[in-house]
Amino acid sequence: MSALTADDAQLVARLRQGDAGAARELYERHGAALLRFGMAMSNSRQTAEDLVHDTFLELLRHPSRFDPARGPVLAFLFGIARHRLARIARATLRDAEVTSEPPQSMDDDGASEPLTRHSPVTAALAAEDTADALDRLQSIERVRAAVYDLPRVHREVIALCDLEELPYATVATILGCPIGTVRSRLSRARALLAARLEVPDESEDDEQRGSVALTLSVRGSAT
Amino acid sequence: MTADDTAIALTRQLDCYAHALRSLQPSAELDRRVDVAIQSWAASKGSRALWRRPLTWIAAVASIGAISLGVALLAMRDRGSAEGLSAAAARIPGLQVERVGVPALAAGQVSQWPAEAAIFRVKASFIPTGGFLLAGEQDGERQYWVDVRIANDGTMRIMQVVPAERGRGGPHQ
Repeated sequence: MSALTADDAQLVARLRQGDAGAARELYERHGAALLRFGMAMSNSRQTAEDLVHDTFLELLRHPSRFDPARGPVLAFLFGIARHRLARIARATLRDAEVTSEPPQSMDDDGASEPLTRHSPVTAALAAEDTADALDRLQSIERVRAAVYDLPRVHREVIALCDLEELPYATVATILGCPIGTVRSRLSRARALLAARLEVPDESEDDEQRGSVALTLSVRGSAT
Repeated sequence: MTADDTAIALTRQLDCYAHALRSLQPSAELDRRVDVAIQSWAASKGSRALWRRPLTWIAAVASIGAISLGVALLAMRDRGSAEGLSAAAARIPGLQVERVGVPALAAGQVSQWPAEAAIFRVKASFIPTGGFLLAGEQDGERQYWVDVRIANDGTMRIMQVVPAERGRGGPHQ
């Protein structure tokens, strides 16, 4: 267990004793990660924010459900969020069945919200008003749409392993399955995603290289 | 295009998306909602913790005890006043308290006062001017048992008159 996760466990212990400061600290540490996960999974900012709120509400109600022996606090929080998302997805499916329309998004109003609308990085790129920047925006939008188009089990491994870059062991704890299953799901998810994106050969596309170079320069300035 | 090339290209695209996602931060509205949730949780936690303190329990038990004692004292005082009436009646020669606490009103009637009445049995002699005179043991005149009902609204009524030689009959209302 790392120093950070040990601290997290101590925060949960303080939370059990009614320490509101510990609750705030946990939110500041993990709120953004949960928001990103919610955004990748639901494709809706509103749903993602509701998810973060509900996850912390659940943590406040039942902090004793966290067992340090089973994994870090982050895995516990992602586990709560994942169950809530599954519930939302079931409700959305039920609503779609009632209205006989295919579900478009988990968003309340049924409309997906592109990440570019909320991202300062993409906003900065748009301000540059260059062809590369637009290409990059389009690329992000394509990946976002392709990820959201994946079946839920594959979308969540992409979100946790590739987007959040969590260790396989932690992802296995979140999903409640062996590490081998995480690996096989991830492999399948990447294959599906590559097929949806129709990933081009980089050696044939010099413009793509320019886009990558721009990505790196933007990342350097943003972080 | 080899599998490795595809994997590298996919990884780069995902990396780009992940980077854009990392720029996402919780909105001020979400911060406020979580803050409200934490505050209300802390408030409820505080009220629950109050009951875990021994002093709180002692204070609660003491309060319940004091209220119970007060109720018991009031009940005893009411009972004592009724007993006091019987004891006072017993000290008057020829006066017996038959019943205490008989409702002065029949069922269905309503009074704004707690209506109670007592029926006294008095040994008395009839006097020619009308009425009865409380009889003493030494009187040789004919004596009667008179049942007198006195209600707490101040009214008095003779319920029954029975010659003393016929013994004690039950008073009627």
